Amino acid sequence: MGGYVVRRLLLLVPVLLGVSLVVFAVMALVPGDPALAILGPYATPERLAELRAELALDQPWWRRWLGWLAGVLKGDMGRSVSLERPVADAVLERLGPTLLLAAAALMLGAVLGLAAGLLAAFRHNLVTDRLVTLSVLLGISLPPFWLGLLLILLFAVWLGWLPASGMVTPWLTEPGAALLTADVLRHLLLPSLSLALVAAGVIGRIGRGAALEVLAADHIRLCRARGLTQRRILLVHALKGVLARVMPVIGLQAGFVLGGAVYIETIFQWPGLGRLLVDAIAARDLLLVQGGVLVLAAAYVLVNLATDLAQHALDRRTAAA
Amino acid sequence: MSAPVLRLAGVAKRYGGARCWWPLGQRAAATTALAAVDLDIRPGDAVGLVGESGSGKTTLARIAAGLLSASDGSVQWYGRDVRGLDAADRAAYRRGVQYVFQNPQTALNPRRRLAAILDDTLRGLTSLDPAQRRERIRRVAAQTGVDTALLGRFAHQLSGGQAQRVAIARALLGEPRLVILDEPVSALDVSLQAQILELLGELRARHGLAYLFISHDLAVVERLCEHICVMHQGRIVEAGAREVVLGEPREGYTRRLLDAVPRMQT
Amino acid sequence: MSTDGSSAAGGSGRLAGPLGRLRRHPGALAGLGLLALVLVPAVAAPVLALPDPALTAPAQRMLPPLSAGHVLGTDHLGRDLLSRLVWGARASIAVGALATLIAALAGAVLGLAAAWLGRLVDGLVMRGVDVLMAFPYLLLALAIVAALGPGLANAMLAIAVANVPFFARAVRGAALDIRHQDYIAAARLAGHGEPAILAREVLPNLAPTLLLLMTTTLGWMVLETAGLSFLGLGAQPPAADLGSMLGEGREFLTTYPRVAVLPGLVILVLVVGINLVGDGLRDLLDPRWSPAGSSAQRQGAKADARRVAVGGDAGDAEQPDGLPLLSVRGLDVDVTGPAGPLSAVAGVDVDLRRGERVALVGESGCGKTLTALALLRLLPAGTAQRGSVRHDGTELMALDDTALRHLRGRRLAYVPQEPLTALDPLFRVGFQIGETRRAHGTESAYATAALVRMVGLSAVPDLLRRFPHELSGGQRQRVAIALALAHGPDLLIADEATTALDVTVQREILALLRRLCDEQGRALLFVSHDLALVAALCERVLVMYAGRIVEDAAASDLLRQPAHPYTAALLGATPELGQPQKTLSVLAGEPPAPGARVSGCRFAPRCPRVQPVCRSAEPELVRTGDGRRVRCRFPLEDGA
Repeated sequence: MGGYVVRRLLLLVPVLLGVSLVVFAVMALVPGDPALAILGPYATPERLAELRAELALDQPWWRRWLGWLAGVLKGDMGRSVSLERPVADAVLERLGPTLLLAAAALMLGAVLGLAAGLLAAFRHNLVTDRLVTLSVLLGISLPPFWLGLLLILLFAVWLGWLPASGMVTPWLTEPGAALLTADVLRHLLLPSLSLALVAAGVIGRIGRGAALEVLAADHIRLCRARGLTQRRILLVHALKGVLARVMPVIGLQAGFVLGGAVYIETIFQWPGLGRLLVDAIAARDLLLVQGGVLVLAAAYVLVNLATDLAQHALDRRTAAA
Repeated sequence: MSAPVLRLAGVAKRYGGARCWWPLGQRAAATTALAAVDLDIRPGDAVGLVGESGSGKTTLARIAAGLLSASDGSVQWYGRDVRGLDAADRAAYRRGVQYVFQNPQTALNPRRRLAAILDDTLRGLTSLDPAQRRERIRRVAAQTGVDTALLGRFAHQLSGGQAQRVAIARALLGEPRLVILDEPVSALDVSLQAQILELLGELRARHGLAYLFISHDLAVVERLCEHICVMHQGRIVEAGAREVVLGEPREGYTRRLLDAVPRMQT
Repeated sequence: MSTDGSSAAGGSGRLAGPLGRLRRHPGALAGLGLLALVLVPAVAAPVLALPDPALTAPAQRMLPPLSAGHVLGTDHLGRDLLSRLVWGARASIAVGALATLIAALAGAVLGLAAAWLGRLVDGLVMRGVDVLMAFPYLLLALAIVAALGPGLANAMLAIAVANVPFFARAVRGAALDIRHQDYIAAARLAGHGEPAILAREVLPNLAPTLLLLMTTTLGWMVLETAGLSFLGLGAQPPAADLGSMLGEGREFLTTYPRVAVLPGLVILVLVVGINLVGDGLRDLLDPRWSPAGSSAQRQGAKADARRVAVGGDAGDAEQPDGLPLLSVRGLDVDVTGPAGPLSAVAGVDVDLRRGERVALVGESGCGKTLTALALLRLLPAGTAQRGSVRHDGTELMALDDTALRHLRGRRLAYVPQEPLTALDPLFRVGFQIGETRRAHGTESAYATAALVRMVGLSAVPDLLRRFPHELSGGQRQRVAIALALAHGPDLLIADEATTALDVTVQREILALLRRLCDEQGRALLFVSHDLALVAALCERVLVMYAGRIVEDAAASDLLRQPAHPYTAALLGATPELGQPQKTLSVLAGEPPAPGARVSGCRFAPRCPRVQPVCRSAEPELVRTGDGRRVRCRFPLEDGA
């Protein structure tokens, strides 16, 4: 186990290096003069020259990449043109809300999805199975941005139960910690649900398949032959098998949740990194896009590491891939 | 004594051990599947290769057929290293050594009809024209007991016994000198096994074929082969005439193997 | 000899074709319906009499549905909503399909190259894939659009590129699998070059996988391109796809919700349709899938749950001295076939005495494993059993789950065929032994250490801390036997318990089983296909053929003089070490498949001694003079 953890941690280094290279290379794709693209056609020649120097455009690309990378390692991601402040500050400020949203959505999605999948497989009942299969199909087919709008329409506009946007109520004066937490949770519910339902669809689908596969396995038959209780067979043997199989899928859904945050933060005016990215793209603020994508990708890589380690803890046969 | 059809001289096979350039990939220690094996197969000989799983039987067979390259040593076709053969000899070696796999269902492409599989084989090995190929396929099918009506089907539409007959027919199409049989009856029930064993004996007598017959079942090998090699942990630990190896084994491992075979005499 | 074509597989010369089976797949049909609902108008858009979707009419903004000339009303610029939906769907479908196609082609080329061109190419491609898959892929697409600039074509390209790694990885996996198949080796042996092998052997086998991947990802692709458009990065006005319509409509969500809700609904219908068709295609391309499949399996389970118990004493087997340990009467097992239940085992009557070692022998598919499982009422889903199984006087068919559970493992134990899959791979050996010992409330008959000693595993260091995959095959089988013995059962049912093992290991396990039964007076039912093996272990042999017991005799009698022609053929076909000159009797043909119609004796079509009367009615299993039972009208006799 220990060796596996160390190996996986060391593997992060080349992957993160590769990620930074891809982010950088994609931004280098920008056709024409990046400085002109950033500042627009009305920029003064002095400003353009200044920016070109700042971006080190006279240097070969790998020099620029190494320079940028060295900066990133020191916590300097350059300066955002549109926000007129350091990229690192803006990104870090927005990272917290996005992680909160993504974590809530992922946990909600995993719990809902696993529950649905296990229910369908463990209950030997046609109606439950059909119902779950149908909801899971709807889940994976729902556009999350549309789902977000529907939830706003229903719970915020028509029923008025929950806020439609933001992360805290702006006129909340002098909130205590408890009140603030409750307020954030109220704001969190709809956006995280919009992402969670889709993630739950995928997890539920895989979970149901995994559960059916495990239940048909030879070792479950031997459990019955050994006279174990049905409860024990399902909750100890089958559940562990299902979790081991579903864990990587939960990791992959972290990717969906972190990416989907871009829509959901836009719809719900959630002050996270996703919305920052959309604004940065609109403003052609490439350094900001570069920094934001890098940080989100790093977060995703770490979540995947966590789920891989969890899977390895559940099933020791998995080797480092 | 005639020159061997195929000679393995000091053939070894090692897996793994190469340094992986991607950091911290698996860097398993090299495992030796085969350690310096010598084996001669003379024209018309039937050589049996027995041993338990992991003893290196299949590795040896695949190297002999040219499906796998040896890490060390050489495979010689009528006295010449197969790596140095000129084009004509290379084609003769290709035609001359054929292989029958354990599971006929996976040895026949599931998405092609059997007739097409046989025709392809013949096209790859010979320069016969279509009419000659049809004739050859018809003849070999008759010899192997394959009903030509079955050839319009796919492999999964055949039973295990039928599919193994087709696989044997394919191996015979190029008129080989040596057929390597890798557990050809292990996946079959005993009544079908008897059918295939009988067929293999018949074909060998008719065509003067040499066999390299691989099996974990000593009784099956004993029936078909006059020479027997016992493999254990990548080595041939005992080799010789059937009566000697099975009757008066010298090696402890051979004796253990023989003792473990269940017998029906009560 | 192979012309009789009696096997079921031989019956269908032509492929029934996935299309033929489509009609019996309700999910795929529903999917096709939903897909057509969106696809047909979208394709036909240019010839439909729809208003220009881009024609603005400020005076007619936000008309309600069913207004004159506007069935679904108009949007904030007075454009016809229906027309925009149809044209928008057309754009969304086209973009999604194109992105899928590009990603699939690029991914297939990369994946195939990685699988085929050796380690260096494989390493390079897969490390690239690893890095690209380290991105949440929507973000990768976003970054690409950011670089290329907004626009529908760029969005499509971005989504395609972001999905290439997924396809590359999947295709590489499938291609590697194909690469290691024997038919590729066979093609090499036929002297074909790599291009010919790729074209003729690999691509036809890869194509279904690729097609499946494409249909299952098409839905995602449509959703993702719509998402980029929703963010304003895809279709630019006046052009529109469903995503950009949704994005524009968002501003009027509270006042005119339908402008935003309707495009989303169309996306949902489209994607649900695509996914249903994808699932259907997966089922239809899987040769194991049958339309009766899941529902019939459940019915089978229900039938089992009803515990149909018939006749306490069917059959004419005499009761041996005293109450038998296990008494089976009229046992039938049906398996679910494509067209209803098929009889796999029929009319099994048998008694097992205490301490008796009995073998159940037959060729594959004869029903011996189903019979063994039925004795424990452990049949898999999709099968149903009838008849009576009594253990020590207790009718198993009448027991509730709890009582049955306490019988299993405590009095009746099971030793599986393949201990690698039969031990739970995720739990340590010690855990599995411990929970088995505690399974029945009371203390188990043996302590863990005693069990480990009994099965000869005391010398394995750290045994209890190990996982099953850390043991050898023989060690695993010993652990499985220890689990079976924990409560000192009076009957062990071993299903091909040594088949997966090497012959020297097999010998050790047989000796162990024999010793454990001898010393502790335990009965054994040993299921096997190997007569020679059975002869060394068991006192009595039951021979099964096509779901029937055809002979029941003492092992020594059976070997000396088989009575049923099938037993004789089986013996005659078994090669024996030390007798290479023995002529093997060759039995023509193959056994009938379960449910196959055979009039009269099931063995008649292959029987060398068949008489006309054999084909008229099935013979009974009758007791003959020397205490054996035979299901044959003309049994072989001594000297015959």
